[in-house]
Amino acid sequence: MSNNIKYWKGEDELSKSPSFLAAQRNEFHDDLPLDEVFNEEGVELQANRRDFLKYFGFSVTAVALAACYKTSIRNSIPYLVKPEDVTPGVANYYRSTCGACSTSCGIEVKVREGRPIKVDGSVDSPISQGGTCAVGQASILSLYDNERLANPLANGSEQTDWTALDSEISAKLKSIVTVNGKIALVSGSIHSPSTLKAIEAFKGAYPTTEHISYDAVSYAGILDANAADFGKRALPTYKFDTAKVIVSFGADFLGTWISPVEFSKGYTKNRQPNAEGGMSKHIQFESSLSMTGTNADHRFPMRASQEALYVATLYNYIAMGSGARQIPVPQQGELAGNSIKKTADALFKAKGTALVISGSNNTEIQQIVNGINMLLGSYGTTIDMVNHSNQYQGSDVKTAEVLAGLKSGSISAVIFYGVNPVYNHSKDWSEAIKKAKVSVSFASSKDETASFCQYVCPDNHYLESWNDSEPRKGLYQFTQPTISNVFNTRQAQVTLLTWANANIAMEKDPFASKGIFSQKLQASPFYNFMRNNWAAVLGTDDAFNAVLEKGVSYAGVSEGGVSYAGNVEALASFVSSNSKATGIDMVLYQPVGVRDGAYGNNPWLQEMPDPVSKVCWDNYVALPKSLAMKLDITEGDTVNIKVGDVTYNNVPAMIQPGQANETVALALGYGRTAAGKVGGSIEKGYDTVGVNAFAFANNTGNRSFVAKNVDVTKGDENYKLAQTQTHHSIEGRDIVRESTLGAFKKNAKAGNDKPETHIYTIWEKAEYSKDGAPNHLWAMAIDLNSCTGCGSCVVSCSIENNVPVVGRDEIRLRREMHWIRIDRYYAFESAEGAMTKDDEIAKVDASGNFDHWQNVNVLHQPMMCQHCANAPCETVCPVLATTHSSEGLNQMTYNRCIGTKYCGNNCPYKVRRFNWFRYNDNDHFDFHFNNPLGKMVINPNVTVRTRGVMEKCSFCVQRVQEGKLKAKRDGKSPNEVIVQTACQRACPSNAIVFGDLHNLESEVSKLYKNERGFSVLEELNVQPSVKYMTKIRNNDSI
Amino acid sequence: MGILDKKLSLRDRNKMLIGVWEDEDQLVATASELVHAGVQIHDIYTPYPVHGLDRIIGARRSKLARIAFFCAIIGFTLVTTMIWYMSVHDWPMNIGNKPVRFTPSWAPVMFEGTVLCTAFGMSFFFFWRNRLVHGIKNETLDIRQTDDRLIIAIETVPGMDEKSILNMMKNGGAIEMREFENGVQTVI
Amino acid sequence: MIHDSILRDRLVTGDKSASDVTRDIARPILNNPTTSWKIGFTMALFFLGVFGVSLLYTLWTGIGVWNINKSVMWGWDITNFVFWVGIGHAGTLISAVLLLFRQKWRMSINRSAEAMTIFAVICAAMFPVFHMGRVWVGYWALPLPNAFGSLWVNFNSPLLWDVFAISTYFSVSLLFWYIGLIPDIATIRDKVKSKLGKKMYGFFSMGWTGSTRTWARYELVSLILAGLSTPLVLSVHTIVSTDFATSLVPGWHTTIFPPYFVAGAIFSGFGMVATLLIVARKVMNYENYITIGHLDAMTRIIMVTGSIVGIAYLTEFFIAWYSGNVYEQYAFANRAFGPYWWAYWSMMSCNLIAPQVFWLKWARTTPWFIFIMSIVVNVGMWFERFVIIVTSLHRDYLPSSWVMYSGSLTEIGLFLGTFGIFFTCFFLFAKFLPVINMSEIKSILRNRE
Repeated sequence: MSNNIKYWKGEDELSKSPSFLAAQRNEFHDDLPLDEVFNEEGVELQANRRDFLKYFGFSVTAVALAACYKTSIRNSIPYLVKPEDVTPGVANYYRSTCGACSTSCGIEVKVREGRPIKVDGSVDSPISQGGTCAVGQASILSLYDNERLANPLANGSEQTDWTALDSEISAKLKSIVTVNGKIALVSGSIHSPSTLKAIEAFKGAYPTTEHISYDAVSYAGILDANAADFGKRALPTYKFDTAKVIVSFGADFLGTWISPVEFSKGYTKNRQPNAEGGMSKHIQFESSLSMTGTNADHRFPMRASQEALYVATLYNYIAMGSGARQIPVPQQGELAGNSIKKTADALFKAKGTALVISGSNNTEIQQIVNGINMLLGSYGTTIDMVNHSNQYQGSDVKTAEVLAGLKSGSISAVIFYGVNPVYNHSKDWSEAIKKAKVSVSFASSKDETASFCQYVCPDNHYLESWNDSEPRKGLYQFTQPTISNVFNTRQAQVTLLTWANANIAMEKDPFASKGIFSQKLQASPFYNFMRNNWAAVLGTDDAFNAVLEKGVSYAGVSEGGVSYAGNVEALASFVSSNSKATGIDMVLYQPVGVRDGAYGNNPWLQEMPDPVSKVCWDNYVALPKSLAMKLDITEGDTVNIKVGDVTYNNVPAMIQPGQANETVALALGYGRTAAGKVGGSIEKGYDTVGVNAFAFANNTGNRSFVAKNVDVTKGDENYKLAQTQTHHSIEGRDIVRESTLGAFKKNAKAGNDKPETHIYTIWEKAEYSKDGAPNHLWAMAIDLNSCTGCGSCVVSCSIENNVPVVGRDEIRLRREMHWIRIDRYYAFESAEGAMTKDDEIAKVDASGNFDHWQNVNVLHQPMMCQHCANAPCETVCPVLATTHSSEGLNQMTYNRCIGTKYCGNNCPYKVRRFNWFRYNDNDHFDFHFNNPLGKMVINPNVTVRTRGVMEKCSFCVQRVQEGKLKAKRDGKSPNEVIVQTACQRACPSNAIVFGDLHNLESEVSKLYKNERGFSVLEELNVQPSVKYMTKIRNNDSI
Repeated sequence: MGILDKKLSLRDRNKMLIGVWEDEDQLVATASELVHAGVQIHDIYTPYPVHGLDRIIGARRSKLARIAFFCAIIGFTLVTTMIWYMSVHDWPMNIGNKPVRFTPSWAPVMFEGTVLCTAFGMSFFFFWRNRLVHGIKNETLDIRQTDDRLIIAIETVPGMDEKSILNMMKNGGAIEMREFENGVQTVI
Repeated sequence: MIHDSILRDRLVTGDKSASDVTRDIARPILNNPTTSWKIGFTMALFFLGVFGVSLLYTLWTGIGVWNINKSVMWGWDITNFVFWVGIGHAGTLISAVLLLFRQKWRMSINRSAEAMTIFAVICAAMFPVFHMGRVWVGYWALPLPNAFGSLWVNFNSPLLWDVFAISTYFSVSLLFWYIGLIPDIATIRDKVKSKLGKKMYGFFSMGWTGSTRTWARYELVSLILAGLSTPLVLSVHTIVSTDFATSLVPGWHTTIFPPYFVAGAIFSGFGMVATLLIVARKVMNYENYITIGHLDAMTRIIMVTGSIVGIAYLTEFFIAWYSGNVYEQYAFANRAFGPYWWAYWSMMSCNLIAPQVFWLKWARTTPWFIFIMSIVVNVGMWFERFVIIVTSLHRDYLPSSWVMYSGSLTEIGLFLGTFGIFFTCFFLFAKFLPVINMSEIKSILRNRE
């Protein structure tokens, strides 16, 4: 039975009071004490369920969004101890010496926060005189080449420990010495006293060592000729600044020959026309159109194989004049249309101020040239044998001997120092090196030669090194490091000294007290070694540092005069044996860009358009029109060339105006097989760039860079060369103005006396540009007489303004990014006079005679943004991305640009460049912008442009700003603001002048008043801020 | 009076007499007869515009033209002010040395802006006035009035002689006649 | 009592009644899509895909994937832009200008012409937008306050005028088109069976009843809009022409451009209308609405505008010679005899010479022939823009910067792709909206004087 006893909780339940019953329905009998909790100080909760969901949803979304954003991590490490002389954002400049080639220009290195970012000429150096060549400019990038060896190599494997390597190598060398085995130290031309001393020290330790200098493109011809004629195996110092008549036989002295910067500076000093004339006359005999040839007043085609005859004939004419004995050579009838006779007369008239040079590497020819100069009394005036040049000393014969020695095994050890014979001398070296017991290369990258050597002991880049040099007798220049070693490399001198274990104990570093250099540099043993060498001359630290600061000490010497003992008549047989012209000649020349190929892996040089052909990224066979027609070759075709047993098939062909008939030309310095990703590397799988023309050089005796009896046939492939200019005639347009010296003397406005263009405008002049306005008015003046077209400005600009390298394919698409370009126009001389229009030329061609293609007049016109006052680009930009500054600059605002490209279309000068892609951090453009090391060269003052924006020359606005601020800081007046644009700074011929037009004393305002001044397309009334000086040629009569 | 045309709504109206025509001419004739007979025609619905009807039923002439002009003035002022503010007042710049103040180059934008404001302003008023609103409940009296039927709707007033009106319609060729009261149609 | 005209031929043949009109024209909307529609639509979709792919590639890699270069910075992109904008002009012109001129024959073609306008402008807009190097900041071309201080836009720039002109033109055309559609949408609303259909058409017909009062105002609005659109349509292509005329590129810098471009636009526009309608009337059996008479009228306009354009070509040459400006002279000589001679002469033959055939009655009244000719006309007009843009740029002032240019695959893909956009839109339109203006057609069945 069920239990029905009722228990109750309390009285309320029993009495069933309504309050109890109500409360019973609740889960909790009493209310939860929530309110007390939430109504405390500062806590409120009026949120109901919906609000809660809102909050919840919001926070979830917020968190989710926050999670989506990935912040990139950027490390910026401050100086713990700020070096005394390093101020972030302020550049330091150090005087040093360019190590790009053994010409050794004095330079000034711009260093920002410890990284060198720009190399420019040092005004105190007699070699550079403030200018630089393209190679020197670009050489800085090879410091940041991430394909340099990070460590020494032993039998191909990386070593990190130098000491182990040292003991290993020196042991091997010692063992060789003990058995009296020969050691060959093959180096480039070395004129550094300290380095030579180091080598001596090495010889001391290894007495069987022989030191040979080898230059890829050697001047042994001149050296040997001088040895024969003067008993002094040295290059003379050529003084172009004193030469009034210059005759060059195929010597590209403005582009590549010996010391181009020095020569350009001197040469252009005498190219300024004035009422008295005052302009030198330059006559060029050459078979291929060199950059120097493009600047000549008279240029005559010459068959390279006949040079001996040409030179001899010239000698004879002059001998006739001066009553000396002639060379008995069979007269061949008149060469080059009586031009040699005229040349002789011109030279003879200018006796004492005449200069004859030859680019030939043939001793006999150079002896005849010496003879000519002797008759003209050039020695002591235009040629200085006393303060001779040390820049090149290489001996081809000795080099050949080493090769033979290695082959025969008579030389058991070889050390390569700054040379790459496997690439630029002969393939035989590769086998020969293998025969050597010890083979060492100091190459900084695993180049063609190094890859065959057992040991590679990478040398420093010159910007990491201490050194000194004596490019000219009595001229001393210092090299000082501007950055501590990027890789685990060691200066070659130190390596030699270590192996010689010469005493190079640490000494007190005069800079330690000043705390300038890092520990690493203090420890640089070679500094101490060098310091000791100079102790005699520059005893005190201050004396030494003074020179170091100036970078150069020059004391011209007078003693050591030479006497001429040459006998030219004796060369008759040689001349007559070399006067016959048969078959087709091929001239192998150094291009202005990559020169002998040592810098083949430098993208800036590869992309620098050739000054003459405007071709980048390739070498090509330059054909004369006549031959091209014979072989039915047009642009885009290829040729097969065969010399002896060397054959190259399908080499790109180019029809080169000015190329002498029956001669072709091919540039050296290409076809590197172990340069790297830019220059080509078989090992790394990068295509070689062009073909290696060194294979055609004749290595018997002094290397000859002229190949005879060349077999040229049409290739069966097509190849499009990457050219930055494909239309070469000026179409009779009034874009570049020129005249002759004769006309100029009569009328200073000659050639520039076009009727004043009547310009009617409805707009009034802007305030800033009115005379006497309180602001600066920046402008540029370019002297077409000075500009040689060398392209140094192009590279300099690219470095200064972080202009990307875009590569061959993009240039084929006509998308080069250079902010400054050098327009080059051809005009043909013909019976009908100068022909500047394509259809005219075509008409004459149709007659089947192509001789006019040999006689070409060339104009170089640097072209950059003209900063028009009435800029057409500005009005059409929808977003105001390009506007005008109150100082006359046409500004480009990258951040605002949306990339409609209308400005580019509307620019009559076509100087605007568009970022078609992202050029940095992009594997399609694997150049220096694509790796962290390469980026160290980026100029922090200039934005690296992003994809899709327009860019153009800014007149180096960052330098303008810097100059203004500096003047302000120093409390100078606006007229004392000094600004040099990058192109101007680099120019080896002072062709570019930049300045303030409102400063009436400035050079540019003076030039603006010059009668020769004209601006391009002024009839458009865009009012450009760049004026060009009419080109005056001294070619009225020889 | 508001902008919206109250007459266009059929809501809460008295009983309506509806005549359906197939022939445009007969309808026009009948309509004018009715008006002559002093009948107030509420509205006539046609699938296509029949000219003259609006005058017959005594609709007032539209003011849209004036409104359009008004919009044009506004638009012109707005755009001109905008250009002036942006390129003269707020941030004048040297653009290729062109004068900053009023130049011919302002004309295109002024014109386009004016046209834009006019077109949209006017159309907005048109929609509003004609009770054309998205998703509005449509009040068609006959499913075919947008196809091929023409319809006369007369709102009855107390003391109106509906018989005679219906006769007039019949004689006028109406193919059908209906009564419409609070939403229900009954065929007569 | 009003009588039918015995003088003029009927604009609508086949003795149609109002209900016939509704039935005929609403048929494709009420019935299921035909196979021909399906096939066409699929093809359109395919080209739409081509557009998508080419566009993605361009946006991802950068416009460097096109072949434009340092001198020819506009190529196929702007050529296509002007081409499409040109086509986009016939619609508004037909409905607006012909309405002002009381040309009743326009009534059976204006609807589709306007639709064509809108779709063509959409295609056109693609190019100025995506030819920008940094399209993601393209909105900076609008006068918006921004984060970069009060940095505004440049009212001197023709490109900015374009921004205003094109957007105004597009929106006003759209409005005009929609207002014209309302009565027909209402008709469909009352015919359509499906629930969704009723909802949609109900929504867009905005409760249209066809009240006489509304009709009166409706016609007034159409008239005023027409009055506005006429100068608008002229201004738009004028402004497009100033993209070139205000520059100083030889061959661009010429005052003849505005009238010449407008004529060209009408020319190409009518060409396109003809192309579409000849197909439409066959496929959709609209022979009675789009009669030979219509084709005749259109071909006359094509012939006239074609000749105007032709005269403009010749005038340009004359002026170039007469100006004595070497750059100008060279630019034009180079067009005709330079490396792009083929483009120039195909332009000449297609635009000036070919249309002259329409002097013949037969040519004007033979649909298949007109169809071919309409294609020829549009090819010619594309070449016109190519010639103007490319041949002027590739050889301008400094011979050192002379280049050659030819479109890359991507550029071609984008162009073909825009046809995908165009026809996709057009097929959808033909399926869901009445291709012919029913209410207006009904009002002219009687062919009143």
